[in-house]
Amino acid sequence: MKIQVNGESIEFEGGLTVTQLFVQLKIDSDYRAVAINREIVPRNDYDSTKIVDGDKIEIVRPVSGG
Amino acid sequence: MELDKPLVIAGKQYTSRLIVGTGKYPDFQIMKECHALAGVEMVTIAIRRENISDRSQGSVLDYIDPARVDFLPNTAGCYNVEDAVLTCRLAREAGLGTVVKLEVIGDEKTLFPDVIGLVEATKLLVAEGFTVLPYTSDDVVIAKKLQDAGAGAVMPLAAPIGSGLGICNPYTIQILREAITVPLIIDAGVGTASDAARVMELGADAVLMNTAIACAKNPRLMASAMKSAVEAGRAAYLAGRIPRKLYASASSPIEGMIE
Repeated sequence: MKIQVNGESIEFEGGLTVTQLFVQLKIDSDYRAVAINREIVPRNDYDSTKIVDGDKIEIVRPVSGG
Repeated sequence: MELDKPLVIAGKQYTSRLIVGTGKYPDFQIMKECHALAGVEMVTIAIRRENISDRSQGSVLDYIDPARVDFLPNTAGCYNVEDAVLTCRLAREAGLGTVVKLEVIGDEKTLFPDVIGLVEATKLLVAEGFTVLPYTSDDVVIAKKLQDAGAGAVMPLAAPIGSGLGICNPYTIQILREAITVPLIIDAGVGTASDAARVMELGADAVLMNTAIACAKNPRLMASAMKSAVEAGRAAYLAGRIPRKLYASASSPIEGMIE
């Protein structure tokens, strides 16, 4: 399946949960948040939320700012 | 200062009346030292996309002690209500708390707020349980609308973000002070310590700044100057300045002069 993560097109073999996406991308989920198609995925639902073909995913983190 | 009451935001008491940003410093270590020298208890942070291909840079959070300093996530760069609200929700989900600096920017060149969107976003976020601190213009009508919408503080600019112009209109700040009861936090426009002192003398409950410290020639020295200025300005406000008069009034006795 082909999905978009932070504007980048990425292809994965087979299905994927949000937890697995973090593992695949080697991102620590601490202080991160995820939205799929602009809907927030609560942290507790990372294991059960399946990503499907065409999903637009945003993974955000805190950065410096004013 | 025994006369003073603490600043209260979202039910929490703060001794420091200086809120500082985390952007534009030469490096994170200098930022950390500046925060300590400024005596801050709250710092702003932004929310951005994770860099998928390169994550070699350290995190700003590694240089902030959450036991001593609270996060104030912002919605900088959001030009509409939907993006601002989503950013606040993402910040909460990321574990950065529910006190947010709400920005709905309306103009790229001035970074002036879209105050109509700001009031709307404030209402939506307050209904979701956020404590909303909106960055706004120095318009008293909008300030009252934000307060009525449930804002936890009102944060008018003294001058455009990052401009360092200082207080462009001291009279509107005085009017705002009289018009609202929630904390009045001057956000943006401070250029140097005297600006911060003056903002506090005009009755602001706190001041929020970033560029004035981060981009000073010596950020550490400016951080401690700002701490002193905010404390001095606050004390002067509480002490009550003398009225301005056109003519002199002698401080030494006029009797007993030699002849």
